[in-house]
Amino acid sequence: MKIDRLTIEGFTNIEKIELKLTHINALIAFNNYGKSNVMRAIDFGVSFIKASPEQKMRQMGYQSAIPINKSISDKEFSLEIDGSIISGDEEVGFVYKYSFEWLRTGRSSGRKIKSEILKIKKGENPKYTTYIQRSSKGSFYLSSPTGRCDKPISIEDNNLIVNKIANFDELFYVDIIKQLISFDVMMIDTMQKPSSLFRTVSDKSDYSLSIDEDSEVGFFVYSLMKLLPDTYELFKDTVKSLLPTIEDFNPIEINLKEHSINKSDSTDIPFSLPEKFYDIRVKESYNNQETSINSISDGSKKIFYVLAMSIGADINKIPLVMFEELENSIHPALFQKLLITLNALCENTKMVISSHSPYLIKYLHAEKLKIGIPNNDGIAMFKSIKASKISRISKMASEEGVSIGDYVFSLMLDASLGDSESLNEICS
Amino acid sequence: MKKCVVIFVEGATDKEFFNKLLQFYRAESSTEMNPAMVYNMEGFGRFQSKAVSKLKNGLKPQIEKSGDVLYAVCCCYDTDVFEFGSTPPIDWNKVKLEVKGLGIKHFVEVKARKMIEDWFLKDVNGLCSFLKIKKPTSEIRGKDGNEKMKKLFKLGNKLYLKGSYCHKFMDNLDISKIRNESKSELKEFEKILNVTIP
Repeated sequence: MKIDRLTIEGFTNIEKIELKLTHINALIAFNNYGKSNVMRAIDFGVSFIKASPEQKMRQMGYQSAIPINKSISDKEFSLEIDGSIISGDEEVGFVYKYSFEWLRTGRSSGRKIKSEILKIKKGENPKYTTYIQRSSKGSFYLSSPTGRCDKPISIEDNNLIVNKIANFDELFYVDIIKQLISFDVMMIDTMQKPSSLFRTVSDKSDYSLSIDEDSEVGFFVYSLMKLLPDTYELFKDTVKSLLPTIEDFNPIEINLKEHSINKSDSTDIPFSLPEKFYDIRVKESYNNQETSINSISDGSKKIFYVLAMSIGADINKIPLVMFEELENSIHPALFQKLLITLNALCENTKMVISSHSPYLIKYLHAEKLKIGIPNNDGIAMFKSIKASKISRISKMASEEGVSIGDYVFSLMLDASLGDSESLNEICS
Repeated sequence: MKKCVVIFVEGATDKEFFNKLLQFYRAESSTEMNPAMVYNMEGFGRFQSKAVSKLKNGLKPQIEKSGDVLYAVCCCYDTDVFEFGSTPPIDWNKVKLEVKGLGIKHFVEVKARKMIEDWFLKDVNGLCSFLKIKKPTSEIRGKDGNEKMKKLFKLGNKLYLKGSYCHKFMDNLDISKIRNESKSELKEFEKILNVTIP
């Protein structure tokens, strides 16, 4: 699956944000603006699609996401995804949107899915056809390729039509629906201390390349070496290029069962819990011996973790990965190389990176940036730089003898101090 | 009194390559080559703002202190702007005027036709020997030299990273072949270096 555009409304202090996704995208704003909320909203909205009705009820009452800002407190949550899916041999374009009412403590208790629409575009036909339509007037779906979207469907307030019709095995577009309700996005938490992600004991019986936010990096890298040796070599070469003090590394596996206190205890039992310890042994150029990966610097560990998870996301064809403040504890020059690396490494995966650093602006093209515009309402308003203004920004940056990134960042600083006229002028 | 040449490049990749090229010239030139130093400006954006200041406050006084003269300045850059670089427009005429204002006789621009990677790709055999792969039977496709390098390197389970990988394969490249196929772009450069390749 590919995601080309995401639109989120009604989440914490987000009124509406539209992200047209290129390969790498950046959300730039100062602290406490709402960058993390955008990422949380995307993660929340996508997980809602695949959640059970009970989980959906809980999500619709998730208090820390319900808008309490005066300007948007009536706002429903909605997510719109514009992208494409492979169905058979064909790439199929789709637009899917749903909305729900948050938990209310007034007369209405809220927690109701209010609307849902799925439009699909196939082949050369540039026009979308409606496959699912849900509103206050009723709920309908398209039941045959030649028909119209008018077949009524009974649907509960806490369930989506896509979840229900995913069980209609005979439906001619069920494979598209199944993909739509099963895709993942991933938030890679670069704020946590990475030590906890290595040196873990796993109870998995088989090697696996599936990943999530809490993936055990040692286990993943060991599995990569076993299951995809070519990709492991690429990963190894990439780590060594980016962290030149690492001369070599090797993931290791220790079967703890082989170190039982009483070996006879482990025989003749119906189920033996697999317990294996995973670590990564690292040889750094200035050390006289190999060490556990935990002994290398936090910055290097973080880069190792980010690279492992990114390659995992690409292998699993996760359409979107989000990084929060990726530049933390990474030297600016290395940060540029990390961006270059991620861009090359993740062929199947798009990235959103949040930052309050001028370096991200400096290293990315202006059209990839979404800039948080300061305002008096406390609403997170992210805007793009107008294409028509880019040459003017270039000229101004040149006149001031600074990079485009430095120039845009200075406008952001001005805006944070109350003078947002110039920033508003260049943003759409 | 020696006629010194300062060569400004825009990144580590270019520095590795131009040092290798100078090494080739020293070995092959039938005339005595002018002393030359390659200086990495770490990003295209620093040419305008830093080059002149670096010359004025550091390199020129340093050369003159040794009794030599800063004879020429050469700026080497790609004509394609790299996606992850800072992207300010450079007013080359302004840079040229400022360099001349310092009393430096020559100012030369060496433009890799698109990207320096396009020069590397002139020796695919050398790159393949580094990657330990057979030369691809069909032409490597890609929107630019960087993309083509990435595709070629992937065949060898390696990720080509512009700016931080070049030193690893530089010894595998046939600099003579690359130089011969880039003669027109290097003509002025060789002239200020007083290089004559028979």
